[in-house]
Amino acid sequence: MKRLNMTAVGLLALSIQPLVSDEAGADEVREYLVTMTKPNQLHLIDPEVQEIVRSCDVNGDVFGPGTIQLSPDNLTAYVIHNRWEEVVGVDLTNCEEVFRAHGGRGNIRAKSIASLAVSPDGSQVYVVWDRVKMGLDHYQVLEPQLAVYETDAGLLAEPVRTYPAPRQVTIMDADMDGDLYLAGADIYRMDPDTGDIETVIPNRNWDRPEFSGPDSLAIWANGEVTREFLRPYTSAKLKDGNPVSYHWGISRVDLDSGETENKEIGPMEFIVFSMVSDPDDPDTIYGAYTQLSHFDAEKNEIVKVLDLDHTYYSINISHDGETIYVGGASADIVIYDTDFNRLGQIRMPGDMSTSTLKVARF
Amino acid sequence: MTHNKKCFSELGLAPLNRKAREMDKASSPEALEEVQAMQTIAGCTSSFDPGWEVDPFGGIASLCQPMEADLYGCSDPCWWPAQVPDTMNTYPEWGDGANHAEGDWRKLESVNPESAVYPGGSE
Repeated sequence: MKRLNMTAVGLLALSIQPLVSDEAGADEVREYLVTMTKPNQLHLIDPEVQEIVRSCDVNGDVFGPGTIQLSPDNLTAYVIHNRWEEVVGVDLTNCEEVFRAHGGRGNIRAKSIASLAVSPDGSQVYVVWDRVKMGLDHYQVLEPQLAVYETDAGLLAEPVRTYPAPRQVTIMDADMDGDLYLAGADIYRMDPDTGDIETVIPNRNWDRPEFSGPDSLAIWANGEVTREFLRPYTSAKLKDGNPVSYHWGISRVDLDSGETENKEIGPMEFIVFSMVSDPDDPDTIYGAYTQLSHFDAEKNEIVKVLDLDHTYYSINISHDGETIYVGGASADIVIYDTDFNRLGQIRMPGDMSTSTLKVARF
Repeated sequence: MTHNKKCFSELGLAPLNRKAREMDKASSPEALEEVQAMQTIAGCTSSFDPGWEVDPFGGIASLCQPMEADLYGCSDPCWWPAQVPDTMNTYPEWGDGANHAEGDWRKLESVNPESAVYPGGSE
């Protein structure tokens, strides 16, 4: 059986090869950016030549939210689309739609607030659906559900399993063992085979009397390069119950080892919407919003800040750790080196809004 | 941001509409612990963010710049439930034909209840 599987993998690799070769030259692995723009376009972008390679129209009448997760081979992008109510899988080599799941059923409306992950073997997609039963004269908020789909389930995919999920979950990701991490009031680890769930990083419920409760925003899961699940937070250091200083911090899961950490990384002097670390140095952390920022988490200090032309939401980094990509919000992606020298800008045909800026390599 | 145990009125916050008044009445110092402003939320009516009148430092320098860059990022998840139409549910077509807010903002018009799309497809 194992030999048959290997053969199948080999045939699959051979079938993919011409597409990759046409795109990037034989045996050349290239790095791409993947993001969505309004109203419904998924883009594959070559950051080296700073051009859009391919734009795929994703069926569905309304943008939202453009949350993206990639298959392990990076050839398929899964996006939350169509008023936050569907997950669509798109083959990035040819724009073919290969997967679609609608969260709602009958009079139950379901939306996913950026809660999307793919299993490490690429066989399953996970979504948290926030569900509401729409009655004629009242709405009933139902328990959120973690839905497990097989990625080969086609365009009318139904979940093979569902489990109760915590409320207020946004981003998710899976580690190499297949455990699933959910960012909600706290950060949870779920076994997607059983639905068993535990808190691995307490945030709202942390026991840190010297700090205020953290304030977090987590819409962008950008850890595919750095193999991290990272959520920034702000918190005030307290003295006698009163704030004396404000800090940026991170809650982070190592997606290779499953190890967790929660720590302050620098003073809070500006806003950051998303952060990513250097793939070779987890204590070198970059952030984006109206400023591009560099934190030294080990020294707990800000190294560098650069005012950007406008607000951007979503940051990512190249696999070699030398190039920073900044996108989301408006209609351009800017590229910087790690000294914040500007390397380029890619104009997009529409606003990226809340879309994730992902880095693919194939 | 702070771990506050005070009622809204003690914080100098005055409720402006019926929902806010009901929330204020229902709030006890203990119940306030359940309200975490801007804590990992998005989606209409769940947001406690009144809008970006001031930034967390009490000024305006850290507001999104320009506001058009941030317009869809705030309307798509109903982050500004009072300031821009709810494209997630009720006015999904509000941004049609205006894919780049910074260049297309003149195409974005006011909405009224007659043009709302209600869940289930009825209007």
